[in-house]
Amino acid sequence: MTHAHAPDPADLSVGAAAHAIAAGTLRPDDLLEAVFERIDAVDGRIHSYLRQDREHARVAAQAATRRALDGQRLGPLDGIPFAVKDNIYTAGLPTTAASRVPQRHDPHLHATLVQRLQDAGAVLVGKLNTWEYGTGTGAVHFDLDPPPARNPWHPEHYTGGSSSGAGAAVAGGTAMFAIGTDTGGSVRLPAAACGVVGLKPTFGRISRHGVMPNCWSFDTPGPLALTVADAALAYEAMAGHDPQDPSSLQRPVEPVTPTLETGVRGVRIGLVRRLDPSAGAEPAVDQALERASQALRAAGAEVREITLPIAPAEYRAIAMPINRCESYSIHERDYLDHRHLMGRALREKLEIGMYMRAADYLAALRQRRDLVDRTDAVFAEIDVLLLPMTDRVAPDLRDAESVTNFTTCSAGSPFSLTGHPAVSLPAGFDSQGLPVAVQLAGGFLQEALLMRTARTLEREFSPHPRRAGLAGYASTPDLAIAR
Amino acid sequence: MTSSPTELTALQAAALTIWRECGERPPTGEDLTRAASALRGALASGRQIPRLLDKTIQPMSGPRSDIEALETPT
Repeated sequence: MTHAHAPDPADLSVGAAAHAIAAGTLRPDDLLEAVFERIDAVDGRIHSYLRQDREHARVAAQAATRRALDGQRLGPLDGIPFAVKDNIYTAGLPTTAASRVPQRHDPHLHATLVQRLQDAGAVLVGKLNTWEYGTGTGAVHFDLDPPPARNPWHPEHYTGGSSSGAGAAVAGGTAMFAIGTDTGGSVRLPAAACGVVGLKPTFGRISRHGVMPNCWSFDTPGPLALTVADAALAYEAMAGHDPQDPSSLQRPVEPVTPTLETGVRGVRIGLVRRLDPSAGAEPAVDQALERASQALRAAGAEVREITLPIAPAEYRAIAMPINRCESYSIHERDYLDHRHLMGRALREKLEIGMYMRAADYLAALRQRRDLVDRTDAVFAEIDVLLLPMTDRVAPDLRDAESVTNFTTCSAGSPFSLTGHPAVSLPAGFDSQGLPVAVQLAGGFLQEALLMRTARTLEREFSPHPRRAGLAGYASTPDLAIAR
Repeated sequence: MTSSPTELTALQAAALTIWRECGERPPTGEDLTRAASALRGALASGRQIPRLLDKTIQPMSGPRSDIEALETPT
C-alpha cells in the first residue's frame, strides 16, 4: 500500500514506475491495485473503459511481481498496467468497438501488438472507449450504448477521437499507457485534447494483425502515454515485422530510447505556422507554437518557416474519400444488415462510402502517390516538421459545432495520407486549464529523431509531466445530455 | 446546402435504383431522404479530388514498397 505522503502509483509515469519496481520500492501487484482504485474513483466520470478483466490482470501482475522479486524482470514494461482501444482484438476479452452491431470475429484472435506488450511483461487491464468502430468524422451524437469518454482535465469537455478512452485513460491515470489506432489523427487528436503524448509511427511499423480495420491505406496503431519516454518504450515493444500483417514493414526498427536525451543541435526544423490560411488558430495554440520554435532554436536546432505542398484541409479532402470507400468495403455487410443498430456518425460515414464512385476513389489514390512524393521531398530540406495538431483546444462536449471543428481544423490527415510518422505533444494549458498541443512529423522510419525532438520540447513544456487531478470533479453532477 | 424538391426527387430515384440494382432492399421514408443526401455528398466529395493528367501515376494502395525501398531513412 502507499504511504499518505507518497505519490499515488497511478500518477507515476511508466518510466518512474519501472524504476520503482526495479528498485524494489513498488510491487507490480500493488501498482495494479492502485490503478484499479483510480478506475473505481474516476471512471464513472470519464468513462475511459468499456470493460476490464481484473482476474487475468491480477494473475499477470502477480507473475510480474514474482519476476521482480527474483531479479528476473523482462524489461521496463514488466508489470506495467496498460489498456487498448476496443477495436483491438483480445482473446478471452470481447471486442465490441463500442457498437450494438453483433461482431463475428474469431474470439481467439489476439492482436500481435497486444501479444508483444504482454511478452514484455505489460499487464492488460481492459478495453477502452472509442468512437463506434474506431472511426468517425469528429461529431458526437450521444447515441451509442456507452457514454462518450470525458476529458479528465475538465469532464465537461471533449476528448477528441476516435481513441477517446485511450486519451482519457492516460490523462486520468486509469491506465499507465494505452494503445489506440490512427487513421486520420485518431491517436494524436485525443492525445492533444487530453494533454498526453500520442505517436503515430510510420505506416506499417506496428502490426495491424488483430486490429479491426477501418481503412487499409491509413490505419496505424500507436501508443498514448504520459511522457515521450513512455511512448517510446511502448513503441519499441510493439514495432517490427509481423508476417501476419501484409502491410508490415520488413525494415529493422531503429531503437528510440537510447538517443532520447541527445538533443536537437543541428536538426533542421520546418515550422508550418498556419493550418488554414483563411482562419487563425486559437491564441493559446499560436503561443505554444511560437514557444516551441524558440525552444528548439535555443536547443541548437535550425528553425525556418515552410509550407506543406498543399493545405492540411486539401490533404483531408483527398484522404476522406479513401477512408470512406475502404470503411464501407470493410463494413458493408454490417451496414446493410445492421445499420439500424449503428450510431449516426458511423452510419452517415458508411452511407457516403456506399455512393462514392470508383473513379473518385482511384483518383484519390493516385493523388496520394503524388502527394507522398511531394511531401517526402519536404524532408529532404528539413528533418522535422513543427506544426499545430489542431487549431483548437478541447471544446465543451455539448458544443456540437466546436466539437466537429476540433477534428476538421486539425492536421491529422496529411501524415495519415502519406504514412510519415507524427507525434502530438503536450504544450501547456490555456487560460481555462485545458491542454494545448503541438505536432511534430518526420521522414519515413525517423521515429528516433522525431521522438528526441519531442523530448526536447517536453523539457520545455512539461518538465514534470502529470496526470489530471480529478478530485475536484468527483462530486459534480453528471452532465445532463439527452441521449 | 439544401436540395430543391426536383433535385431531391432525382437523387432519391437514383439512390433507389442503386439499392435495387445492388440486390438490396431500398430505404424508405426518412432513410431515403438521408440516402439522397449521402449520394449528393459522395459525389460532391469526389468532385473535390484534383485529377492528375499524368497517366503514368498509379494508385497507391497496399504494402508500402516505397518505404521498404529506402536505402537509408530519408
